[in-house]
Amino acid sequence: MLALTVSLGLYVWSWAAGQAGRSEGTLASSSAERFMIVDVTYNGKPIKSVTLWVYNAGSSPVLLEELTFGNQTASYTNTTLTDSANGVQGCPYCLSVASQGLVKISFDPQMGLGGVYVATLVSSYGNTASYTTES
Amino acid sequence: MSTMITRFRRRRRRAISAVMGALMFFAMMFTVGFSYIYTSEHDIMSVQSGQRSAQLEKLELNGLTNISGYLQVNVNNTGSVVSEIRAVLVDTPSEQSAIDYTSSMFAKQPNARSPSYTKVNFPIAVPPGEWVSLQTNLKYASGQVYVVKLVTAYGNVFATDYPPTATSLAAQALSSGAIGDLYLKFSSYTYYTFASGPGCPSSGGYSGVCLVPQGQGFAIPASLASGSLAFSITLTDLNPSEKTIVLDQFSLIYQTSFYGAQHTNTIPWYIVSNGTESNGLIPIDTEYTPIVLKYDVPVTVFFASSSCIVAATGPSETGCKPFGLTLEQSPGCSNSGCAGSEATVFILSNGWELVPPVTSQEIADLSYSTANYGQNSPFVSTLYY
Repeated sequence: MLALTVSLGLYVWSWAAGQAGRSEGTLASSSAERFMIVDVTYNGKPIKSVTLWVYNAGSSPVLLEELTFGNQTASYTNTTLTDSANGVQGCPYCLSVASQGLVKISFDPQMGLGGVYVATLVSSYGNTASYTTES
Repeated sequence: MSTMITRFRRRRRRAISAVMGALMFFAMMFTVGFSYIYTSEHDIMSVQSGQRSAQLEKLELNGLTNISGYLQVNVNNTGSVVSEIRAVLVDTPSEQSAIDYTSSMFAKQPNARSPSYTKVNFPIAVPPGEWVSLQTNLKYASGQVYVVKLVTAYGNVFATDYPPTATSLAAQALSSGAIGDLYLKFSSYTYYTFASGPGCPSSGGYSGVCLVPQGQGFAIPASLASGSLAFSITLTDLNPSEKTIVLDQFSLIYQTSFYGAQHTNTIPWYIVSNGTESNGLIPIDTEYTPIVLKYDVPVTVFFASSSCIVAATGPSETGCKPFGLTLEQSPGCSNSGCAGSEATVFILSNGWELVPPVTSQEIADLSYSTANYGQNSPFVSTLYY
């Protein structure tokens, strides 16, 4: 009876400790994530292509899940930032940016020209980075 | 009796196991909770520390082109943390996106073994108070505007335009642009007579001729004008790109004198290099060592010779001579002719604008064909009375 109680207690403890560790790891990864859009350029009237540069200043790779680009009247969203599933678990179409890495993303938003445009990237942890530019 | 004792022992055992169970349960919950809070707190502090450092990071950028027309940027760390430059992007009008120049940059740093531009591997660390000069392989196309962006390890982005925007030029014009790269301190205008003999060194590179300070040069007794005179002014390099100015031996100060309705003469005094003042005497070098004007550092420059002085280092023309007594310059008028003369005073400064730090080897390698600086500055006036 005693052995059963101790075994059960240790199992519950290890499970709780594991869950706490995972939760803490997620929180730490999320809060340590630090990426930014450092440059946005676009070409054509209306806009034919947009190129943005993303830099990851964090200590771990960041997975970019979603990109939005638009102004007050039009918006473009891209949730497949890689051409094919890259095998990242839980986020197959995410674009991975290595720690201290600089990555270029080009896309065609197919929208007119004019006004203030905002580009926003969302990571797999839900963190965002935005860049405002005026055409 | 024995039955009562046995029951009592059993009860005590049950009580101990309950306490032990509670303790173990508490220890489990405590270790899980404590490790969670401790680790989270540690992570949060680490993130906050990084954010604080990022806020303290400050780089001042200056875009410019070198003699060959290649775009470069001088980076000065005015913050209080070490900056690590991770990437360099240049927005060019001819390209559809910014170009990453990180893999093709050349850099010059004050603490580098080689003083010249060398290919660099990123990141480039710039300690507080220090600078680095980065050169791209992008040639500047006239009329275009380029934006150079530096990305640091903290995630900060610092940018500068080349050519500078109208706003920054307007700010610079207040200090330097309106009058050129040299700031002339009017009150420093001083005139000198010559001396030689005891106390005036004639070896170790000195000519045996010294300058004796007389006072401000705005009004000079005509009695002194029949002899040789020399002048000095304090110059400050305020080049908007913070380049260093190296003056060649053709830099001079000249006076054009008027007497009544007559233009009497125009006399140049060529630049000389000098030693340290001792007992009121300033020794003049036999040969000219190019004067180096660093950004925002006032330097007193002397003009004393009637001819250009042969250079101790750097380029030299065959017409230039070592400084000697025969090369002292005089206002060129007799006592009676000078009294009442008013002279306009101009400064012709000529030479090279170079990216600091300028080494002695760089000066030795200079040639007139690469001269990229020349300025004619109206300065003051002198009355001979």
